[in-house]
Amino acid sequence: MVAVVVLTAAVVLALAPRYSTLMGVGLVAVGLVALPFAWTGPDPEPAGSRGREPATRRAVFAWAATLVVACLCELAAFVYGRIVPERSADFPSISMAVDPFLHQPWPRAVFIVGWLALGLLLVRPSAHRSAAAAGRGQAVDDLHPSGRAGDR
Amino acid sequence: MSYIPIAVYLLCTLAALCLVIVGRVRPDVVAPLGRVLDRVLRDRAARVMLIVFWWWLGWHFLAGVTLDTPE
Repeated sequence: MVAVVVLTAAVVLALAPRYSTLMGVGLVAVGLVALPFAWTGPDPEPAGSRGREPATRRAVFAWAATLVVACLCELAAFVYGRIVPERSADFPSISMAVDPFLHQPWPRAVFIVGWLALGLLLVRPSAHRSAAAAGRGQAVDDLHPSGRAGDR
Repeated sequence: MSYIPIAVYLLCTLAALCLVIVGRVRPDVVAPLGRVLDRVLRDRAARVMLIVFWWWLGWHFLAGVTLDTPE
């Protein structure tokens, strides 16, 4: 079921022209489907769970450091663009750097697939809890084939 | 000068890929991304923020005309 919904969304968004009404409607629909997963999430972390392990702490730190560096560069591009707007292309933001590629169909399709995959990763933990509550643990493996469902 | 920020973005992308790969090969050293998300997404505020940000990324790049550059 999840695969059908994601595939349908991917096909519709990939075929819709950029900045079109269809693209906007498709994105709003995806957001409306995803938002409830943000509200209903996993249970509080039990004491002694793997979330406190050194490997997890290292990974959280490494991911946070990577994202902070990217955000600082983006911020610098924004500030530079405000100070010297006529030369903002000298210090492009991520949006400016990626924009020419997204006007082409295939790179845009790749971006859409990556974007949907990231969204699946984000809603997966709450889907796990819903599936477990319904006694349908198999649905979790469908969402995350690496088998992390039995990881906790 | 434009190569500096682009190099930083590419290095960040490369670092993210390395973290995903190392997380799969050596989960005892660096936890897999799924476990990191499990920990981060336990907080409802973080969940809402991340999902809204993820959705906004899609809107920003695909539907919203947010740059002045010609098509």
